[in-house]
Amino acid sequence: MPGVVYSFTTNYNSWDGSEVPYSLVVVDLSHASDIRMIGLYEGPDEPTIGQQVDVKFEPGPGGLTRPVFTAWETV
Amino acid sequence: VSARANWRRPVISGLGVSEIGRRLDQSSQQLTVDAIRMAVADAGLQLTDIDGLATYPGLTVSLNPGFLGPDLYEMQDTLGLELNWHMGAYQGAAQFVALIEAAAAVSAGLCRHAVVFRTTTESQAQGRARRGGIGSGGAPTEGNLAWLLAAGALSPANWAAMYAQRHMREFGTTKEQLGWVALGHREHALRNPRAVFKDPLSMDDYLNSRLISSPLSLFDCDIPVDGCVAVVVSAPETVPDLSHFVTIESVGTAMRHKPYWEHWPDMTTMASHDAAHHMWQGTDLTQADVDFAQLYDGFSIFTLMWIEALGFCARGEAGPYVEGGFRHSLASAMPINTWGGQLSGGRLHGWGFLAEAIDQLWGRAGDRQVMNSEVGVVGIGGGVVAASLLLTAGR
Repeated sequence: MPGVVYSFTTNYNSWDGSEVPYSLVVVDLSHASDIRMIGLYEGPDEPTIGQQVDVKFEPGPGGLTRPVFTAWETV
Repeated sequence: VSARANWRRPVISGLGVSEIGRRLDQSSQQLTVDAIRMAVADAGLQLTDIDGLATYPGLTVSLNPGFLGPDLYEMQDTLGLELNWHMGAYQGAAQFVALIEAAAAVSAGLCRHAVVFRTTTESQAQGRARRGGIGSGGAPTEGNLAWLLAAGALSPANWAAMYAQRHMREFGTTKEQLGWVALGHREHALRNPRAVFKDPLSMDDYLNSRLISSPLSLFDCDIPVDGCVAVVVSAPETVPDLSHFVTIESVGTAMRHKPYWEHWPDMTTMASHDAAHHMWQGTDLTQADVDFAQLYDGFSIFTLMWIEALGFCARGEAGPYVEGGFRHSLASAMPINTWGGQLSGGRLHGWGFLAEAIDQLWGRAGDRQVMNSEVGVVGIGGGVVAASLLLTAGR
């Protein structure tokens, strides 16, 4: 079940030495009404509000694991 | 008659502002002692009259270098105060938690004259480096910021940007309208001798500045400074002995939603909406009575949120409200951020707004003075924390 982008930003300032720019998305989960997920967005273009997304998990800052969202592809 | 029958309106009797600037060669303790001594003298009191002391944030986790001022015990000892009431606190009604608790303490009779201070040295701590992310010393994996930091949303600029983006999407708010906040604040800063930025800012300058986190660019973000603001909060029964005072008519301290930026149900609103609603519940005054507004601007979008939260325009209309800059100006019926805000005046973390409100109500704002200034509103905080104050000139 796809998530839906609620909002996003593209970050251009390197706060911790990370390569920039990168986009971050806040995603509504179709099956949960009152929580969202925030993560990186990977795609050829900037994300858009309302876009459907899929998720995978990758290593993030500080040894943590973070969600990485990609465009939802219908099979 | 106030809707809050037991709120024995406390007053602010003195204001002290230390030197404020970029990379000051002064310790956090020195700035604090300076501001406190000025505040006590301004109230016409001696340090021996002070029986309450409070600060935000006190001893807690330091989110940025220079975020913490001296802690409460350190200042009690430095000044040799004998206290009946004291507190240092971070969790509560944003950067005013200690101020509002002090107001409640004098109102309830726990002490008579409380000094409350906020000191920041984020500029000297930053040095000549670029501004870092939150928790640059290692991301906290607990608490309400954990998921943001894990995702790489390391700066409040990222979090605020997502609110701005959503506001733009739902209401058609434009980048230029955000720009009018920055320009309006800069226009006031030109008349504020304490302000950090004293050069004019044009819309071209604004639009051509580098992007930080879309849609926010450099001039949408506040500028770190070093400095301390201290006030004396006094009990209502001390008013006959005071030479001047500002009355704390009502306060807003509400917290009604999840304390996570990313889970906030409607990201075209912030905690400011709850705080403002709570503040208006405690008074018979209304928006029409307000002569000026000092509205937090850690990022430009926060000021737009506060304008809507306080009901100065309808939901979604803050962009058009600020367009052209007239609403900000001294010519308008309710000028906004007359000291230049944190965008141009400097990031005193909310307390610059309070200092300006007090100066305005006492007619001490010089070239920035709002005529017939009797009622002022101060709204502090962004995202999931907020506090607001409704202040009236003492009489």
